[in-house]
Amino acid sequence: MAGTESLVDPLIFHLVVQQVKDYALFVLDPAGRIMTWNLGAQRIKGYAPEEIVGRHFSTFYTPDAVARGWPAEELRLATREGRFEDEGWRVRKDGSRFWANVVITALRDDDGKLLGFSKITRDLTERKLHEEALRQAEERFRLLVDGVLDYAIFMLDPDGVVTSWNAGAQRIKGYAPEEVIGKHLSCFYPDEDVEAGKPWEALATARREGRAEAEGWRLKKGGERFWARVVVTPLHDASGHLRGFAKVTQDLSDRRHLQSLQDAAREVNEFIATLAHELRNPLAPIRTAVEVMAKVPGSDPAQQAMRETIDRQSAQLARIVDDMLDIARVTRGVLSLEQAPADLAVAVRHAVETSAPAIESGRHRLDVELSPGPLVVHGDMHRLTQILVNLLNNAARYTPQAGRIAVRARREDGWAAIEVSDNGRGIEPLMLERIFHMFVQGRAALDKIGAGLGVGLALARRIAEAHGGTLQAQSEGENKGARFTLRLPLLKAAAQPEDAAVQVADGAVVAKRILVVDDNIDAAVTLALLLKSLGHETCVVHDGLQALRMAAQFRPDVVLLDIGMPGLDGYEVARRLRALKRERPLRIVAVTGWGQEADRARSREAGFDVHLVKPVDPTVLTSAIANNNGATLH
Amino acid sequence: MAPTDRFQLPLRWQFVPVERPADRSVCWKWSAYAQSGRLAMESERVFETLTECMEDAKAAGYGRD
Repeated sequence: MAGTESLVDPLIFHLVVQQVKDYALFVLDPAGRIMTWNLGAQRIKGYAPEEIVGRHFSTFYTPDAVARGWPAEELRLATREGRFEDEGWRVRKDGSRFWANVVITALRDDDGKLLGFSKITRDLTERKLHEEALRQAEERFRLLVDGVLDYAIFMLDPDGVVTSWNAGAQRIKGYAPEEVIGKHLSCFYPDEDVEAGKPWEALATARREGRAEAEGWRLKKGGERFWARVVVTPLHDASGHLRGFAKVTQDLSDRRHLQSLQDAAREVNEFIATLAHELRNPLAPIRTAVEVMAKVPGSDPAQQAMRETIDRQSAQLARIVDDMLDIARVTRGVLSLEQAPADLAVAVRHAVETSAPAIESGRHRLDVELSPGPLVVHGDMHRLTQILVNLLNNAARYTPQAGRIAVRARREDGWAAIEVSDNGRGIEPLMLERIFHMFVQGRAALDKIGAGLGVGLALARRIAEAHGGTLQAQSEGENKGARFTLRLPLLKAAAQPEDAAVQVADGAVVAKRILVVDDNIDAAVTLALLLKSLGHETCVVHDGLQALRMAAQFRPDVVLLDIGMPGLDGYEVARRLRALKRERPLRIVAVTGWGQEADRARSREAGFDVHLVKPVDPTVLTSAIANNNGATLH
Repeated sequence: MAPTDRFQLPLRWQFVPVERPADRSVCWKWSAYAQSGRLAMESERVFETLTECMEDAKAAGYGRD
């Protein structure tokens, strides 16, 4: 085996060692002086052999290491153990440092006598820098995770045992790290979920699908439940082996609570809307009956007083019902506005007339000051009037008897400004904004009866804002009166208000033949009585088919038609009436408890000329009947 | 007869409760003041209700532009 023998030739071996460039390989004498020097040593440390051979190997150590005797310690350990391995900073010839892996092996002869040491040094600077970068990245990530308070972020081993715990986990679940690290994740689950195997199921799902996500009840340290959203992600090493899981838990208790509050609010809102609709139906005949009673001459004073009581209280009830409906609309964001040029001076006059009973009841002096010419804005006349009625009624309500109320309308740089002021109870400064919140009674009413629901000003401001305007309150304080200012952008000069869709009839009523259709017998009969008292000829039926039959026989000028009826509903009756050939025009008026924009649109499509919402104001009803110019109001 | 001069047109309408000394009941009257502040018109009689009073004022120009 001549070839094999040549490979172990000492000369060849020496040459191999000498030529190695990736490792510094050299020999030290027992005292640590350098005896040999290969190419790798020259490359890594920068010394030529003649520069370094004979010097002590501590030349390569940092002053700090030399000062603490580390080179000598390495030789001592290598002598004792036979081998010593170390990693640390070493110094090149040029003074620069490199991270070195060093192996020192004691060299002994056959008798065990120490001959010296071999030293192998590898330059691991790049690896060290990479590891340092990785360590810093991990440190940053750990600090980031540890600092997160809104999420519980922690690690589990492959069996589901907690191995790390951040500040968010401590905040949400209540355990300190030392209390929970080492516990199984099932301690966070309610008993029923543990029995159902959910903790293990979550880990299995994460392992199988790469992620497991769930919402459910979890337990805090003290056993208190909280609603959590949990994401479990498996962690694998480079070879694909499962190393554990990352678990992120978010406490959704507040959100769930908020959601439940919103659900409850929506249910209450729906209840209010339904209740209001249901109250409208019985209110309609009551209001109509009161109107009829008022027209009966010569009733005795006691009866008259009772009628007036019913009138006042049912009117107040009707206002509350309207408020309830508006609350429902506002909270659902469906307060509908009909946009058309509207003269605010007209709105002021309508509002003053509507509020006259309240002002009269308080014996207040009323000043109405309107700037010459119309104040035209783009908006909903009915809603704008509603704002002013609210302000005037409040003024009357919160001003002691025989007070002073003033309404002033003027122009202000492209804006219409309407002031409603009084010398009444005034408003405390802290309440000046709060009075515009829902259900806030800003001032102590002089008469609690009829104080309403506390939504009027909130609605008024919403309506003003929906028109691009503002509504502000001012008061010098308690008992110093109040001033409310409504500002709305004026329409450009070109636009003029349309003719009012329904004009209040002046002068004598022209008698009409009116067919009243309503399945609520009381409502239909009282309405017919009211119409008779106004001089009209009426016919009453209570369902859709009767209405169609009677329309042919009675040949009405006007049909007052309820919409919600069994059998043929009002929409279908209106369509069929429109399909009939007629010698004279027919006016079809919806009289219904449903007043949403969608209801009005549907009645318009079905052929109704006018859409009135119960309880109907007799004045509005009269004008709706009297209107012969083809105008419609929905 | 309502005035036609714009400056003299009634600008401010005042509705005032008046207590009858006899029974302390309240009746209503109206007054209209021009831009100049001068009393332009007033009701010729008193009314049982504010609404009636307003209706009478309407006949005299209240509510007309």
